[in-house]
Amino acid sequence: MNETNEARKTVMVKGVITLMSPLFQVETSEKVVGEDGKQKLILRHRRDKFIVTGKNGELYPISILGISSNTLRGTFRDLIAACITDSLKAKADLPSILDYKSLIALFMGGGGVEKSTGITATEALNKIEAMKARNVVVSLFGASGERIVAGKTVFGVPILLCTETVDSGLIPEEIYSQYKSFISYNDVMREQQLVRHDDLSDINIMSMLSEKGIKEYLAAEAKTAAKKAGQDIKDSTRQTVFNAETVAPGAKYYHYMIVKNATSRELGAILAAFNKIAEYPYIGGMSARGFGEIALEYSFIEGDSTIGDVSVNRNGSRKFDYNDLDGTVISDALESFNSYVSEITPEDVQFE
Amino acid sequence: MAKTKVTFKLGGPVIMQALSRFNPLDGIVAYAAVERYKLSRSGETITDEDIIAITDNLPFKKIATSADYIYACSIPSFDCELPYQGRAGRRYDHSGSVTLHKMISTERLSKFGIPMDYIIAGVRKGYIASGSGPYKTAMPMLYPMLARSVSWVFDGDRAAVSDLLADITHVGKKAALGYGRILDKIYEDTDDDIVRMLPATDYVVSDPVYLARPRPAYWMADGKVIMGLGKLLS
Repeated sequence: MNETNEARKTVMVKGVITLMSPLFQVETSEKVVGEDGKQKLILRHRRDKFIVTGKNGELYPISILGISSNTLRGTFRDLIAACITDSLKAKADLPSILDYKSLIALFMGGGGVEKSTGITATEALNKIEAMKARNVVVSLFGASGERIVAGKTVFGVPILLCTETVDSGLIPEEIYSQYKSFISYNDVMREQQLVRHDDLSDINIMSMLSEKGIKEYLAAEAKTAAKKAGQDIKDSTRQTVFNAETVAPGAKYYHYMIVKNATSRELGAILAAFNKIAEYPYIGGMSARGFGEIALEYSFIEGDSTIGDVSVNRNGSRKFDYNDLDGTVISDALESFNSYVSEITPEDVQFE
Repeated sequence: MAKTKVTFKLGGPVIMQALSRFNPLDGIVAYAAVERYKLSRSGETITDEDIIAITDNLPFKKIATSADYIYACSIPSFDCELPYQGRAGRRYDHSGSVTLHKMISTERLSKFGIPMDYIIAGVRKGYIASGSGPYKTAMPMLYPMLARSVSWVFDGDRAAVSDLLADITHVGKKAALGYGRILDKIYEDTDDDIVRMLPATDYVVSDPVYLARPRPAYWMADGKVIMGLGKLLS
């Protein structure tokens, strides 16, 4: 299903991500000595660094706990790819119609460049352009096969709305103008203790094991105890206590995407991802414990005019809403993508 | 044509490592020109010759050398450059790198209703080798840096260069993930020297000296000659 003759425009999609629950995106771990003199493990949250301007005009770097742009890009890619595979699954058994390489290209984009089959640069270029015209995921996010296929979407690094970033001009005025004051970037971190409970220490759970299970459990316990005895550790419990850095709920991040020379179908794909993310609006780790819930408020801007806005999970509603602010550009885009998905064939997403 | 200094104000980390720091401005302008051309010919067949014709006619002064011509463009120069590692003494600030996760994850695919047996069969039967090769599960480490701005000096048609650079929103590696965000672009007259990689056969050059192409596309493997760093005399 080729798409070549539509009007194209570069669209900036920008807005605010609000954390509705603590965010937990671990980057590394570190052993530190606590106040009680004992060593403890801390899981460090990922950070992004920026140069900011101080009160006296001095420049200095700060490390801000942040959301990974790679996570956001991966999430949007997955959700759009899932729209396609859902449609294909409804028509036939997926493994029989979609080869594994094409599946990987949809969700992950591949890894590196494969060994060339010897085609010329001209052939490769035109093959890539033809593939992009058929496959909206490859067109938006790129992939790699025999050649690198560049995507047309940029996912910005999310930047915390705080005194330091606002004063340094890192955030557009229209994003922060509604707020009267800001927190410091230091205020959003919370170090909290988390416990992974040893369920087998509960007699009620232990009693559910079969006789064979109890024997295996006791044997494993004896082995662990013997191993730890040499290290002067008497307790052989499976319970784990660890400390982790999280970002406090309520923190707001400025974020933008740029879709270069977007067609209506491609804009619709981005909108469909916003719609899908409303069903399960979580990013980062420990989402099963409720961590990483987000709410999104974005505007779609073409040139100097706002053509529409979207909201996802406003006040924890789990809903997706959009407004057309310039004719029917947004609803037309959604319609274009829905029509594309409903008519998609395995050949359209065949990755060569 | 007079010399112009173009400065990009940056808003966040930028990844420009190793030899990519010695690629002159015409590499970026060539990319912008080719992308525009591809868009204007959307749906039509594009040939190697079309692309070479675009990169051969960039709005810069051309200087002939014994190897090939070069454009009068400098390599990037960073202002207020800081390592990503941050200030010493901050326990959490010691990392000078960012790690990306590129992996074929069965758990990730199964979240979207892809049959588990299909995923496992795909990996185990070797349709896609994820242990090595292009689809290898990887966590590449990148080394960003912080800088307030980056600038280049060029001799060429300022209006035409400015028009093409209007399409550029980010510089350096991993631009698709928001690294190298450009907040503003400033053009001004300058008498600064044009410092760039020059053919060692024609100029007195200093380190680094390595095999490189004199003209874009700089990533291509053919047409390389021995180049070194030096000042372009006008």
